[in-house]
Amino acid sequence: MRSAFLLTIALFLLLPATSVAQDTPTASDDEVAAVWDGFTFELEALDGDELTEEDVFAGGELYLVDFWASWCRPCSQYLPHLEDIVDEYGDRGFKVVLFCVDEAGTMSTARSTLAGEDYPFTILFDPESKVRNELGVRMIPTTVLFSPTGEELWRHVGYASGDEDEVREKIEENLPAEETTGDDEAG
Amino acid sequence: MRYPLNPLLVQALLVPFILGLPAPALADSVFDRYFSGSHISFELSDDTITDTSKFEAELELRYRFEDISAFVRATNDRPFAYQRDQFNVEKWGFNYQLNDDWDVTGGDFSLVFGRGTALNAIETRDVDRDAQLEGLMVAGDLGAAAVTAFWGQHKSDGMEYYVSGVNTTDGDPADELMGGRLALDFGDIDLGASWIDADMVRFGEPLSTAVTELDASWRIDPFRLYYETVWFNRDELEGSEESADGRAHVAEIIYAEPGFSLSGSWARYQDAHFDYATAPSLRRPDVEDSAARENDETGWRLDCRLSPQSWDGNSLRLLYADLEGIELEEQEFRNFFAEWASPVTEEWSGTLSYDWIKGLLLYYGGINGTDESFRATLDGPFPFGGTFHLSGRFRLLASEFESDDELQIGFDWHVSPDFTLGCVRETSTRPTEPPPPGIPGIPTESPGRWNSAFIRWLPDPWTQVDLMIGSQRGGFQCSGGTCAQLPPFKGVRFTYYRAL
Repeated sequence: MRSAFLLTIALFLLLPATSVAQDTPTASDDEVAAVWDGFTFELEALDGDELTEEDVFAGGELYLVDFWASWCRPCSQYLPHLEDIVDEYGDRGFKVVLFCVDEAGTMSTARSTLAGEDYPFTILFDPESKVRNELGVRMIPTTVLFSPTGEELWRHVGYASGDEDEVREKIEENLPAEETTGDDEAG
Repeated sequence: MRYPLNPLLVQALLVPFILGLPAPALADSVFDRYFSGSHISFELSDDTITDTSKFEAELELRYRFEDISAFVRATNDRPFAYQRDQFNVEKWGFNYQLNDDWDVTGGDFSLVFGRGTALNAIETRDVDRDAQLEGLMVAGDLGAAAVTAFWGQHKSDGMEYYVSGVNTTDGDPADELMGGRLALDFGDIDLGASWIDADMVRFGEPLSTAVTELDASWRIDPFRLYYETVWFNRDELEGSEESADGRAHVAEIIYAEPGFSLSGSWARYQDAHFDYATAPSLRRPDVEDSAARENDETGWRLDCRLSPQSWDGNSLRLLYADLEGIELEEQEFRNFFAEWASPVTEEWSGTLSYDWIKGLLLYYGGINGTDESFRATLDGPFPFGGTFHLSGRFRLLASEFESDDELQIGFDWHVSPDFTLGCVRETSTRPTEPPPPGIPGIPTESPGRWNSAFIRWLPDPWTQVDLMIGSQRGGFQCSGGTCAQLPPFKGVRFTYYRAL
């Protein structure tokens, strides 16, 4: 059994990693709705409103979805950095959508934690982990980067100090460049 | 329900996914668009405590096309080393959006009513609790009203040393539940009413439970109030003069403004146990003995968080919980917790916390004592590149008859965003711990030391490879408000996960 064990480990470590480079398309609202068809949800937001995927994924150029729970320490360490990133890129159409996957039993802790921080995110409660399961997310925090048409561009599991720099790199790669005016170029 | 699969057929189906053939061929078209969320995983474990070597695999396919979505999961994966399982189609389901207002779900589904005190039929794989139902659910959005109706069955099929959150035994028929919920949205006030009718058999005896639930929430900035009450009506127990009925109440008030939040919670449980619900506990999830006493408990909790802008990212959390039994008043739990979190500089950050618990300590056989912990974490740049995370915990346990101390130190080196090395060392003078209840044949541990190391590699954004070597201590593990007691593990565990 042990020799087979070691052989199997070696096999998987040699597997080619496949990743697909994709262009970042822009989309009209109709195209956004088309991609998210079938991936439907209606979840309660922090302010009490019920939001659907059409409400959440509209009007942005790039979306970062993050999965968070009140009992997950790395998840909480991550949020101030995401807040800084939104401050840097928010005016270029970058948006963060936070899915709180606290189950019903820890929901009050989750609400009080998030309500007192005033994060510039769309925050949704998903106690049944519908969206988490839909995206195949096993561990949290997991962040997933989406184009405006719902194409998954990148994902990252976990958070360690410094990971926010990689997030910035991926945003720079996929966010449409800022438009410059003639006045700027004339200097 | 579980549907066995021929192992050879499964291996044949898995080979192309292993080799990654579908991904590059179809990634830009069908597979990437319509099967997003699918995954494949493997785990090899060799546990010397239970002398168990296992190879486990899982394939979960998720499909979406316009108004239809579906999934199927085939697996023999179980989180505990001693559990063996055959490869099954374990979960399946579909959802069809009939129109803008109505949708129907079939197969295995999760469903939560309110805070879950009446119904929390979900699957929590981290602690192997599965209270999902297999059946049919219809949901409708009628503007200010939302309705849900469901019917489903649940049965835990017998497996070698299998422990489920639902207490069925081999030979008992499947549990059958049906019910519904009406939720009304009046802007800042929401009202909800639910009912569940459950026909169950336990140890050959019929057990029917009718559950009725009412809840209300009111948002009046900067406050949010919530109240939930549940009635459990059960068949009278033969020969018993006492009522088998139960009752649960949950209330909370939250005050929140930027930089400050204060929440107060109150709960009262009397015979509020129900296999398809979870009574919200006022204990923190990371407390070793964190589950609510559904049979007999009442108490309150205050939780305060401060992080004003003038503190430049520093935050303070203060919590106090006070619980006691209703009939057994000596069954007490008192907890004070304080945590300071500080981004010391842009590169360094840390936390300090103190945790004090006084009450009935189950791990001392249910006698009163105190449990104090001091914890610290530190994150910063590592001299050889990357960043590190250091955590330490010193714990003092004391009762009238005995006292013990424990020390845990963990170190992670994040060499790069894709590669992490880590190790954990834990020591304890606590006496030998008994095996988890209901699990025969698991030897106990000697008090002393547990050492483990791990490697985590993310070769691409959709793949994760983990290797763990060493010994891990048994004990309570909590996930999202659900806790279970884990047996210890000593050996090697290799895990491969790939999102398809």
